[in-house]
Amino acid sequence: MPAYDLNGKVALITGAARGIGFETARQMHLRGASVAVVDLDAGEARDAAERIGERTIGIAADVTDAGAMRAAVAETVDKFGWLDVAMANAGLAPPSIATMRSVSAEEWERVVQVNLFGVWHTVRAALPQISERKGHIVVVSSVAAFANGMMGSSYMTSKAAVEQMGRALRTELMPFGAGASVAYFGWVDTRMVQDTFARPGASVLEEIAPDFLMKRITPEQAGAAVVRGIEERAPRIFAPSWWRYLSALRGLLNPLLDRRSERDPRIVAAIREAEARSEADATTSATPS
Amino acid sequence: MPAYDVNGKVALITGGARGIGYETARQLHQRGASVALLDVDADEVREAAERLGERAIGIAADVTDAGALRAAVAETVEQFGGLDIAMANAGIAPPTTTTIRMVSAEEWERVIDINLLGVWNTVRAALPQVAERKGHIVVVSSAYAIANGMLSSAYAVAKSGVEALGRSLRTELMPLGASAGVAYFGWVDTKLVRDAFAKPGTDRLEKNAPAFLMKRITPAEAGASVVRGIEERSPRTFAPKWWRYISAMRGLLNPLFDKRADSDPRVRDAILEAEALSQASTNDAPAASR
Repeated sequence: MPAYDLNGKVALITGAARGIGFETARQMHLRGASVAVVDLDAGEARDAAERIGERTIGIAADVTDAGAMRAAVAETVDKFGWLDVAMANAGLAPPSIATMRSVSAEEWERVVQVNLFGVWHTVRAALPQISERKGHIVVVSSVAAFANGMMGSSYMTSKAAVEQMGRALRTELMPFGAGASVAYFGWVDTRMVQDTFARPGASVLEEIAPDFLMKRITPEQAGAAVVRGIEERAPRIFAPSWWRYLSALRGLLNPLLDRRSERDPRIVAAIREAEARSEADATTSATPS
Repeated sequence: MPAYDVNGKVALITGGARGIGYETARQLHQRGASVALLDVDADEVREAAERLGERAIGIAADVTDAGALRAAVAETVEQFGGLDIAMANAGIAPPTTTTIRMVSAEEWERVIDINLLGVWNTVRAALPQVAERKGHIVVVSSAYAIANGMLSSAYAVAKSGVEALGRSLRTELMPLGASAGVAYFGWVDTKLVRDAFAKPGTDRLEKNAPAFLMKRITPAEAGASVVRGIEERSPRTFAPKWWRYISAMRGLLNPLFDKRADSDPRVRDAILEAEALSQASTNDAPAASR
């Protein structure tokens, strides 16, 4: 039997209508958990819950709204009696591949609102139940937390911040018999990742990174890693699992990799191109007026 | 001669009225830079600028206000003709040493607004000038970007975000001939740190941590490390210096430290005590209003 048995537990997952969130919800449900599927769109959240089957509920809530997250937890408790597991998974990729100089401030800040404050609101709303029931919280960071975030800095900044939140949270929950994990995903074949690679400027990623780094895993594999992590109350969950070793070596590798990026002509060209593209967009959008 | 000579350059420093910000400004000024000190209190920041003498101005600006920072950059450019160096240094310590469960949401979010989004606002306001003039930006992170943030999570969360922001910024600026560096400080004897240690719950930290970890350096030493970093366009500066080695080993050490913290009775007591303190002050607050 696992250290923490999901059978009979109640789980709430944000960003669960699709991708990793949905897969985690589905697999927890298979193990006997009741699940609250939280997502922005009411119809999508309900459809996803119905596809999973009984012992589910679909709830529409925006993670940037602390009140809506408290209401989502209240609705879950109302329906299933309590809450044991929460996964703060909802996240947003930067809408454009751009430098800090050229990105729109609104766009950058929105990514931080969803990816950092959204996790915070989810954690805060779930904590009273989780700590009382000695449950478990998963915050979804990313391998981006320790990668160089050039041209996607809002994402790396928010994911690095979430990692620190998850570490502190775990330490603070242990005295109560509850736990927390930080989940790190590499490239998973979700709509978020597909959309990212469809954006202008994204091809440089595929050019400069070694093939094994770019290989995508399925949302099923990512979800399975999370479920296993919860059952083991693991402090860290990596999918693909070999990212664990890159994380362990990050303090040594990052200064070297950063230094190499500074001189890599493909990166230099990509940054110049991203700035030129933003400049062109700004000019175009100014023209109609 | 250093790789980047600060003589004749113009520098803007947030949180410049005191502590590490003031000391960095003083030392840049000594090397011939003109400096714009920014801080929230108008009187304090003007006094600080006056202490430095000529080639220094004090500007009242709140880093959570993007417009105020753009105005401060404009004022600096008007006064000195340009802007070469920016140091996003303003920051606050969490007002209460407590858990994510017990902290007031307002307090937690305010630390992120100042320490993370304040850095973002400063960087954005300074970038057009700094990029054009092939200058340098320093973002102030902390050893807390590396250490476990228990009982001070907002600080650790923000500083870790700042580190990621600074790394990306450097890579994005290098093709333009400009640069950026991340500054990491351990305990520096500033008002921020003294206030933090005067708070209930924090004294435990001093009792539990090894003495070398708790030894404080002076703001002058911290400032000197930043100035050296600017002159060398360093990607990272550490003060005290040995944090560099902890940073290098963090991927290996942190899982071990975190695991130890999970089962350390002193950590457990500190967390339980902090929660009890917060609980007591929550109970007090409604009582006072009766």
